Amino acid sequence: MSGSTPDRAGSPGVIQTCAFSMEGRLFGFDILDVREVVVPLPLTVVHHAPKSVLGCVNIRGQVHLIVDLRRLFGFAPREPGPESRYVVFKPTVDEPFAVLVDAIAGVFPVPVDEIVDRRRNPTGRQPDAERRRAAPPLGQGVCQLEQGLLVVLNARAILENLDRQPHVAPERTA
Amino acid sequence: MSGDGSMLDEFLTEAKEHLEAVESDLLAMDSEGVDDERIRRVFRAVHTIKGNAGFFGYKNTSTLAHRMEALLSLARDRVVTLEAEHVDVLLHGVDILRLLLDSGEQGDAQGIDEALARITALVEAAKRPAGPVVATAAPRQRRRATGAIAPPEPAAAGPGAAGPGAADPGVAGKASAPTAAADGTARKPVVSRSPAVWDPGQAAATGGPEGDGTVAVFRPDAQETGQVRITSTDEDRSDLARTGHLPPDQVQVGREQGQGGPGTVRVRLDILDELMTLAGELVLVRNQKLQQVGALDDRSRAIVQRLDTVTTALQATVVRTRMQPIDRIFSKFNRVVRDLGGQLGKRIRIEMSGNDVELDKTILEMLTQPLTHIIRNCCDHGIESPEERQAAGKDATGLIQLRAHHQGGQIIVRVTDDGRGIDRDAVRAKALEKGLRTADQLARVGPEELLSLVFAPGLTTATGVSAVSGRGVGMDVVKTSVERLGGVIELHSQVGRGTELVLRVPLTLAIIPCLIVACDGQRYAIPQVSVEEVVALYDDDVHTRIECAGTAEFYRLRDALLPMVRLSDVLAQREPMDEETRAHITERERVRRLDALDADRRVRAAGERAPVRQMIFTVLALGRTRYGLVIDEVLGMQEIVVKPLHRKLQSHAIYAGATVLGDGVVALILDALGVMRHAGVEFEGERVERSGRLPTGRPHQRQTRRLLLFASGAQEQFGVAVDRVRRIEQVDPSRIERVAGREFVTVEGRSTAVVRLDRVLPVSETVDRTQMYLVLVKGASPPWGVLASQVVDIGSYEIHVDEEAFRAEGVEATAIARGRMTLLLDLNIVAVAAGLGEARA
Repeated sequence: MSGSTPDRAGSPGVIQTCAFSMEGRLFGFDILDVREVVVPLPLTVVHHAPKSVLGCVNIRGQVHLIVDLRRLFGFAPREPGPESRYVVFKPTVDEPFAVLVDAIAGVFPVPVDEIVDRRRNPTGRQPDAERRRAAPPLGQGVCQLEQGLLVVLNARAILENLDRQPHVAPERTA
Repeated sequence: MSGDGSMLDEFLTEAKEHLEAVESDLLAMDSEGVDDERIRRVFRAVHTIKGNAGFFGYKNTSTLAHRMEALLSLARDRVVTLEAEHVDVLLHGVDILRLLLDSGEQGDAQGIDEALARITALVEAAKRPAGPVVATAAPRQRRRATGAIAPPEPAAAGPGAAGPGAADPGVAGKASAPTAAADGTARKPVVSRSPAVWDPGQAAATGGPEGDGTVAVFRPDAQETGQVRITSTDEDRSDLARTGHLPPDQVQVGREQGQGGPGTVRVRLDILDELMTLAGELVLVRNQKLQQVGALDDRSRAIVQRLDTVTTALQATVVRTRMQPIDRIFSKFNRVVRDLGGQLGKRIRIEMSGNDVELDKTILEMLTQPLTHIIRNCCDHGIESPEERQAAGKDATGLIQLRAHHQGGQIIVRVTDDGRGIDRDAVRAKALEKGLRTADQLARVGPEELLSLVFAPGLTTATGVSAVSGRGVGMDVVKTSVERLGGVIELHSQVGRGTELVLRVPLTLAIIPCLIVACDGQRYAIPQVSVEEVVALYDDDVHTRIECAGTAEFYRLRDALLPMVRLSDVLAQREPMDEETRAHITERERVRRLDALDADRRVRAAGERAPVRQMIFTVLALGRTRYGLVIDEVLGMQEIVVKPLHRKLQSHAIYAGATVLGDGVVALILDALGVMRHAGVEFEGERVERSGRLPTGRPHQRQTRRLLLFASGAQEQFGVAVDRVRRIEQVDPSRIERVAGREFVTVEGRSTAVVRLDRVLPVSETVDRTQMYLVLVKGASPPWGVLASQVVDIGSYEIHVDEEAFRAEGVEATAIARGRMTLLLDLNIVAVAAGLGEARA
């Protein structure tokens, strides 16, 4: 995994995020949830599975579910390119699965207190999309980094959200 | 109450095993009579539990066991004879003991008190005045074991050794003479040392005032009672002094007979699971190696073959470690039936066979609940009351037969009762009442299939809800449980005679042989146990051998009609297929077949080779239902390690699991039953199988057609759909011209081709008459017609596919018209056969 960022790893209140780009935006998972990042492997299609599930892949003898984040977020699906990677999560997150991302951006430290939780709106009103959601939200908040606006994602929410209809991509507004 | 966790686990496991044996012996004595050997066994078991319980601080357990021991010793000494009443009380005691052990002694005081009281009452009633007094111990022992308890007074250890069972061998405390440890070195027994031996947190005082419990634990002579025997060396003693615990590997556990025998060892389940996984991984590696074999030299090949042999043997052996005899669950039913019989006021006995049939531990465990429910149902609803039975001329005691045997890769379990059977009319009525089926649907359902409604949720024909059953929530759960195991369940019943349930479950879950197939570029595994055979069709057979009826396609396999399903269709459609979809697919395929047949004919007629046609399907069988699954290719048979489906995919019934194939790619394992249900084959299949004939189609489908009947040769009667006929032209045969091998006649100024049926079909020669007819085909260009010697009739006739169907290209179906078999022509095929090209309207 590439990473060329100032080292603030040891500071308390900072999470390291495994960041990747999708449709020109930056997203990231808490690196503690990530087990490894691998190059896409031969995929077995699982018919009847939720639309965001691309299929299954064998990683170290274990059958992993592969989720297409693009589909999950409502972006148009795309053929994997040379930059595409599977971000594989630890068994502590959920049953074996990984997500397909367009390209890895790096490992970025994110100060926890700088993460703005989108759900808490100054006016106290929750945006409609949030209210309709039954599953835990995919996004935990956004943070302004020098590389751009990073959306921090919740790995544990991914599998719960599989059956949702793809919705409009998050954070149109700050 | 603590101690090394694993020692506690061992104690609990062993104690429960002892209890099982006790229960079994008690039940045996209840039905067969008192037996000295059995009483001794039961006594020893209870005694062991008592002692060990004390060591681990299970005070209540120890107390209760002690009280039971008292009664048992009276029985052993022939002071009292065990009758049903005593057995009941003792069985009750066993139940409470189980509760206590399971709950870590958090069980309710009421239960214990009651049990103690009942046993005491019996003991009192039976004992001689001079007999040992047990009651006084009670108050002191009823205190729960919480917190520290004082270690035993050494004095108590002495006289306590006597205990109610005077026959017990001398115990260490009593004998100041050193007792020999297993290695023969005489030494003072450990127990006489300081209390450092016990962890202060442990309760040391146990059993009655005799306190013999703890002491008994250290009894050197362990053979008789299966006590913990401590082989100690000097080192250990100093260890003991230091830590207060024995290093666990120094503790040997002796075994009573029948508790696994002398040559057994206890292994933790998770270690076994790991062993299984490793064996499975080895299988994968072997598969990979086998794939590589290709162009190896002889020596390498020999080595690989040896690897193959060893891996297979290893796998088989590992699988066997998880196998347990079905007796484990069967033996419980003695008690269940006895208790239920008593509760319901019925006389029921149970006969078992095949108890030593072995199956995987997990499957065994998952079968327990369904079987229990079935047996309870038999007792509650199946077997009638003794009066009813006698009135029906049956024996007053009802019989339940429980049988198990191996067959192929499956275990078959049969539960049969000779009770009142299931009343189909009642089932029908209830189904209607609960809205599970409409009257129309019920009318079409056959008797066997009606019974399968018993498995529908919410259906019960019980007239009342008893504490045992009747709420209608049982049988559907049973069915689901069995199916989750990969098994099937069938029900047979005859009113007045009885009911039988047949369960078929796989032997083992983890490693199974599968047929590997390809479909749409992906590989799938089908468990071999479902695969009956593989059929390949070639060339024209591919198009002509599939028949349609109603909304489904069938293949005639020897004597049976096989419903056909395409795997690619099943995969393409997320929702289970409904009738409309099936009809659509059937029609689509029918047209496709015709087109392909046409195309091939044309190619052949042009002198070229038609493309090689091939269709492969697997015949899958589940219980008595069969269907054909069309796939692209069969790649071979492989033993695969079953990996459970990801949680997010488990709701998809067509998959039974996943596996990693030899080349590292994931393949999904298909569930034959799930696929069948998804394709909606089940209902159709059953109907067809029973009657052996195709269903005549749905009411809303056209069954009659307007046909033109005519004759060409002397023997056959032909029919053509009226809407394909332009008109009938009278023709003078002398005006028919022959040009380049073909015949023409001028109709309405146009040269019209004449087709003689005997030239294109294997039918009798066209009869020549002075006046012939030409059946002109509508919309044909260039125009053509069929030569007929006689026009018979035009009318509406019912079309059906006959079993004795006349099969030939060009004949679409048959009908009985005017009392004669009529061959319905497919004009397109006739045209192609006559070299005229398509003639579509």
